Amino acid sequence: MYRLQKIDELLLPSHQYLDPQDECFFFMTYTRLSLGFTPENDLILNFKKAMDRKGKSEWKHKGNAIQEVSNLFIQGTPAINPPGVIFVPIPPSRMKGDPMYDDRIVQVMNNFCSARPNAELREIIYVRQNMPPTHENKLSPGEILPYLEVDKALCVNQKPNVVLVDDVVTDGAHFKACQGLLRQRFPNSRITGLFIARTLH
Amino acid sequence: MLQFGNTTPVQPLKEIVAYEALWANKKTTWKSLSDLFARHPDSLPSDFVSGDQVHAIEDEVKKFVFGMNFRTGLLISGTFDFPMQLNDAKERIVLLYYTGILEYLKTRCVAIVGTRTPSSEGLAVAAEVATKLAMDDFTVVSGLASGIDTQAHKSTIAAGGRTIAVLGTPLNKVYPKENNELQNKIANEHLLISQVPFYRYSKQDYRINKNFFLERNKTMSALTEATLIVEAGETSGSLTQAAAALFQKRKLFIWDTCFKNKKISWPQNFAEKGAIRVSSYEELKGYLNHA
Repeated sequence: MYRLQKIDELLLPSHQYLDPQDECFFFMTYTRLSLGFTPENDLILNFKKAMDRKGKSEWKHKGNAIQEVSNLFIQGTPAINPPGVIFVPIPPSRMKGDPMYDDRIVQVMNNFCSARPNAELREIIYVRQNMPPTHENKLSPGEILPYLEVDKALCVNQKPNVVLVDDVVTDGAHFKACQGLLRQRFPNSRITGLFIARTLH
Repeated sequence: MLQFGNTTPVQPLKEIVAYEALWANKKTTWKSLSDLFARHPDSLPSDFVSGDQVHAIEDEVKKFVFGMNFRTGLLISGTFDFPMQLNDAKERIVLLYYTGILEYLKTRCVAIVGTRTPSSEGLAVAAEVATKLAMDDFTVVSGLASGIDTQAHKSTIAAGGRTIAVLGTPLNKVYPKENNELQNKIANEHLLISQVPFYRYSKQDYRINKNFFLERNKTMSALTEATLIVEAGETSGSLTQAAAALFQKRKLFIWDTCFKNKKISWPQNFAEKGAIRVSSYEELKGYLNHA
C-alpha cells in the first residue's frame, strides 16, 4: 500500500494555479514526463494512451494500466466512513461521443467505488464543447470554464466531502475551474483533489 | 486532511522538518534511524518529534530548503516515488532529497567511482566507460567527488547521456568547490540526490561531516544495478561502496589495472567475494546484459 502525498508549501510553487488553501493529493511524481525516456511499461504513459491507438497491439497496456491505477486507488485508500464521499471526475478535454473521448478516469472510479463502501461516483461536470489540445495552448481556469457544464440533477443529496479526480495535476487549471463550479453547487462541502500523479514541466 | 482510514497522507515539508529535527539530536546516526523505522515500519519522521523540537529548527530548515536556486524535492519511504532499490541497503534509508529529473531512477543505472587522485590512465578509463554507457542508454551515477567521479559525470554529459550525482553533502553544499558549476548543471538538467540533513551538517565540524560521504556510497550502490571501481587506494570510500554492492547483491566490477597494483590488496579480496574483474567496456556490458 502506498501513502498519498499532499501538495503542500514545498510543492506548491510548481503548480501555478493552486492556492495554499487547496487540498490536493497524489500518489506519484513525474518531473519530465514529456521527455519520453521512461520505460515502455510506464504506468502513466500507458494510462493516458490516446484512443486512436485502439486495436493496436499496444492497446492492452492501457487496459492493464487502468486496472493498475484502480488497484492503486483501492489499496492506497483503505476505508471511507459514512456518510461517504462523492468522487467527481475532472472531465477530459473531449465531449462524450467524440472518437477521442477517453473515459479512463470514469473506469477507474467505477472500479474503485464498487470496491469501496460509501464511495460514490458522480459525473457532475462534463464538457459541452471540445477543448483545444493542451499542447497547442495552455488554458487558464477562466478559459476552461466556458467549456464546462454542471449536471444539476446530480447535485442533490450532498455530502460533506467531494473529491475531484484526475490522472495528473500540472498547473492545476482544470482542478481550479472544476473546484469553482462545485463550490457554487456544494457550498457546505469540502472540495479536495485526488490525482494519480503530479507532473512538472 | 483527506483521511482515508488510517493512512495519513504525507505532507512533504512537515516530514522534512521532522527528519531534520530527528538529526538535530546529536545521538542520531544512520543506524539509530534505521533501527527506529525498522521497529515502526509504517511510521513517518513526524511521528517521532515533538512540537518543541520542530519549532526549534523549523525556520532554519525552511531557509535551507527554499534558499537554493533550484527546487528541493522529497522522496520518502512508503510512497510510490520512493525507490524500491533502497530497501536492499543494510541500513534503512527513510528520506532522500532530490532536485532534477526523477524519472532517471526508473532507467538502468550504473555507478562509476574511484579515487580523487587518479592516474591519467584511470581518468581515460572513466571517460571511456562513461561515454559508452551513455551511448548504450545507461544512466551513469557517481558522487561528484574530484577525480574519477567528476570525469564520469563530465564524460556522460559530453556524450549526451543521463547522469545522477549522489552527494555526500546536503543539496545546498558543493564539495569540492570547483565542482560548483557541474553540480548546478546536474541539478538543472539531470538529477541530484542527497540523504544528508541540512541542519545537522551545518552545525558540525567538517571532519565529522566526512562520515556522510561513506553513507552516500552505500546509497549510490543501492540505487544502481552495478558499480565499477576504476582505480582506488586502500582507504578509498569506493571500498565502502564495493562492500555495500556485494551485500546488496549488486554487480561489482573492478577494472583490471587495479589488480596489477601490488601496493593494494582490496581488488583480490573483493574478487574472492564475488567482484568481477573487467578489462574492457565490452566485457562489462556483456555482464550487464547477461547473467
